[in-house]
Amino acid sequence: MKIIVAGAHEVGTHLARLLARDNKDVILMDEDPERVAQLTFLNLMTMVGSPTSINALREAEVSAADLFIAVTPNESVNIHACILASNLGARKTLARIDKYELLKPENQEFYKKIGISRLIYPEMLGGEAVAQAIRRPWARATFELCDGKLLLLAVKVYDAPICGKKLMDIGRQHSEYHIAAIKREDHLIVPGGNDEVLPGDIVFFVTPPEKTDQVRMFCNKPERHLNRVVIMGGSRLGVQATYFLPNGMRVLFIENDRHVAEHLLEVVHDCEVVHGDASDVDFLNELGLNSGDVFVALGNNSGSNVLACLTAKRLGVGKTVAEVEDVAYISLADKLNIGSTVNKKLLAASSIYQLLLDADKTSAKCYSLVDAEIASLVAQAGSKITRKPVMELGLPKGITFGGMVRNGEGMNVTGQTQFQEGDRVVIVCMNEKFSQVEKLFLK
Amino acid sequence: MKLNWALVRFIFGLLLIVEAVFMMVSAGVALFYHYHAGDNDWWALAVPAMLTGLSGWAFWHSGRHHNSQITTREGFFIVSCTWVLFTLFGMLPFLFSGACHHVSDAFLEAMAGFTTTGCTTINNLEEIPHGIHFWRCLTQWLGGLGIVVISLALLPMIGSGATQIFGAETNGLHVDKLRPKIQHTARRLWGIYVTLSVANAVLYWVAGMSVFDAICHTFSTMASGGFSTHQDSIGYYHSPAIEYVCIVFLFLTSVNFNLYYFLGIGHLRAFWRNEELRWFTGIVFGFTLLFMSLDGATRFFSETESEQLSALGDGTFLCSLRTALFHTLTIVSSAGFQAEYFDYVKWGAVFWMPTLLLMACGGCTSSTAGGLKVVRFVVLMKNARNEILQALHPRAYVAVRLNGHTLASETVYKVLAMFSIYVILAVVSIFFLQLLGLSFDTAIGTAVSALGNTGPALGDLGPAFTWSEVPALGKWYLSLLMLVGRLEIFTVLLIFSPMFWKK
Repeated sequence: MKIIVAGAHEVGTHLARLLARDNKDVILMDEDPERVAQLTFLNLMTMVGSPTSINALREAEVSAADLFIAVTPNESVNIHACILASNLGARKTLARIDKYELLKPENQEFYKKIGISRLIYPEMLGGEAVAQAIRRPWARATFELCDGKLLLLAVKVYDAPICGKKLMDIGRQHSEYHIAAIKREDHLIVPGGNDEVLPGDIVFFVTPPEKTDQVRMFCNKPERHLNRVVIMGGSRLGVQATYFLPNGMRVLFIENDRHVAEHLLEVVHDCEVVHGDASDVDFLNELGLNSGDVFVALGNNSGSNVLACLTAKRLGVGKTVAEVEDVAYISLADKLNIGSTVNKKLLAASSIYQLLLDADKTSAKCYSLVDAEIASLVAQAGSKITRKPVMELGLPKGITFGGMVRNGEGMNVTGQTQFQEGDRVVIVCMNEKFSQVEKLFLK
Repeated sequence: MKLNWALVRFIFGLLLIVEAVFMMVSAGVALFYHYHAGDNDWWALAVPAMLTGLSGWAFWHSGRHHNSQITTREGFFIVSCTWVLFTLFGMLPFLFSGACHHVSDAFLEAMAGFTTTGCTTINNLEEIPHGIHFWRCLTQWLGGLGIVVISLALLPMIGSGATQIFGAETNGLHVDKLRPKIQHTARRLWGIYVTLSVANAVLYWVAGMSVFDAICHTFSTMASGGFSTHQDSIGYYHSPAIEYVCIVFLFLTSVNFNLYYFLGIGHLRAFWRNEELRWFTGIVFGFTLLFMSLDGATRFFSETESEQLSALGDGTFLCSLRTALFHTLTIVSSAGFQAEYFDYVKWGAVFWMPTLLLMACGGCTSSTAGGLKVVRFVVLMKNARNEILQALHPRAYVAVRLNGHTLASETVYKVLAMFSIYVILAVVSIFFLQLLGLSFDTAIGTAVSALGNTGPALGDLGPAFTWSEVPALGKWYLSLLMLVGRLEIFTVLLIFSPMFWKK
């Protein structure tokens, strides 16, 4: 599968990295030789050239491309590049945009006609992620697996009942969820029965959506009633987030640019807007922040977002969410216990990757954590996996089954589970183990 | 700095297994001649092949639980050490069969093979059994395109790190990829290499070599190595046809292999527009003319001795042209074959300086030729011209243009840095070789020849002699120098720099 990625900015490079690791033929093009120069050591081909130049596109052999992805920061360049690429013969094209109106269903047909198969709007993905974090304030992050039949929840645990117990003991008592991975310090563990959860770990649970409440209770996280969202910075991301919020939540924007503030009043109905500087502690105090509030920092600067969240936390808000666009800041923000972080570039890259995987039935991978892969495979008739219950399979270390979808219903997997033909099984494994897992599912 | 040792061992293991397979092929050839010619050297190849295979397996096994984190640092380390490891195992057949008596001889022989230098320490080539000859020539063929490139083409297992080790081994100003995947790039290069090799072998055979000699000389020619199965090298055949085949393929093998790929997929423009190729062609014909005129001049002046005249050839225009062409190409491609009339040491001292220049220059980037590569000299010359222009017009904005694009100044600086290290290395080496007792002209020739992977040197180590007379310490030193030259200086020197090992 030949893929051309235009634009070697954060979205483009992250995406290209994911794709190259996934054994795709990737060509990454950008006008700036310096941006491209840092990437020559990835297993992909870099090319210096403008994505809107017909010559450069021909040189990249766009006519043979299965997919052309334009993810430069400039919407017009992306659309222009996609139109050129599809007319030069690219099978499918995808453009990153920054206006919601282009996504409206009535406009879809128009974009198809001019040769753009798909549009992606990172701010909307960011907004969804913010809303997701608010809906489940006790979880650091939520990912949907198998069309949402199963959820992957990342939760940081401190003094939960599950701490200090061996996983096999936990599994015996509670079969509602499965601990798929543990992030301790900076590395990821795919645990076996003898591993235990320690206070301070970030634990990844796989569970059907209806059982998430049990997970919350086992992590000893109280249910918070959040009724107000305080959003710092009236960016497009903030506006998008308000569209996805649960009903009945009040929205307060803090914005120190008058024009933006006025614009917010126009586009977001039923919101309050205050004019001020969120880095001013006295000013925040005046807002009367309390444990029913969510503080969402969506400023331009990742550092000040993190700092603002820390301040808000000290003032007693129930949950903080920070937009961290500098990838290097993300793990730092995690350590500082900022509730959830949102990075719209990474979200965009993963979401494009997801689209590709859905299109390419041969690939089973769902998500890539840092060192581990989450994949889903369908058990074939007569395969090794269907012959014995899980506990007798003798799974190698570093592989675990997160859950399965049987007859369209998400379920948990225990040691006694016997897989049947057609079960879609969620697998969590360390990167290098993936080929071993695949064998189990084939005849 | 902690290297990712598990991954390093894993890749070492895989590469050694590749070497073992090729050694086994040589053992097969030896076994064939055991029955046909009574050779008894098959065990001298089979035993080292087993040893290499077992060591490779051990490395691979101890490193199979690796994480895939790799930096350029590991890339440089893996490539430098792989070449040394290949040489260490590759010299065993020479020792076991008795072709070389000392470890230093065998090591130099194997290193000369893998780095495609083609200088030999063996003085009785006619008595060496077929299997050893085959392995000796095969080492060049493996080293010619690059051990890593060949291994990547043959092994799909090296996933992570492939780009890094490929980048550390390939030569030139940039890492050029033909296809997005480095493995696919390697496979295409290998395809081109094999195709040219087959054509070469067939033509040698048609021109009159035996099948065995044709294959062995193909390995030497395609890799621009220079090992031969005869003491008199190509001159043994006294055949102009063989010399012409050799000339053509030495030219082809000195051209950037990427260009053949573009030629193959119909991008003719990339082929003809390549500035380096045009310069290289110019250099070849320019030096051929120079040597022909020097030849004429030498004959014209009466003080030349009759011995010198006979070394120059029989005096006809065709012979002079052929000898000049052969001389230019065998030196510039860094092969170092000897033709019927090929003893520039006897031709006279005026031939030496142009010969040294050709040794230093070498062929095009991404070819199997050695030397500093034509493109670097082009960059140096253009930069020098720019500096003069700049001195005259201080406000002029100048840049080095190559193939119609301006070159980033960092690239130019890198070329300048490489050239200065090359000069320092050459001067130090010349002095060191003199300390070991080599005469001045011999030392100069040997140092430049080893750094450029050419083979024949000057003075006492000229084309008519082998390198067996060099003291043992000198042999070790020259082996290192060849490796430094083959991996284009930086890759090897980095390992020796303290910065490499600091946190």
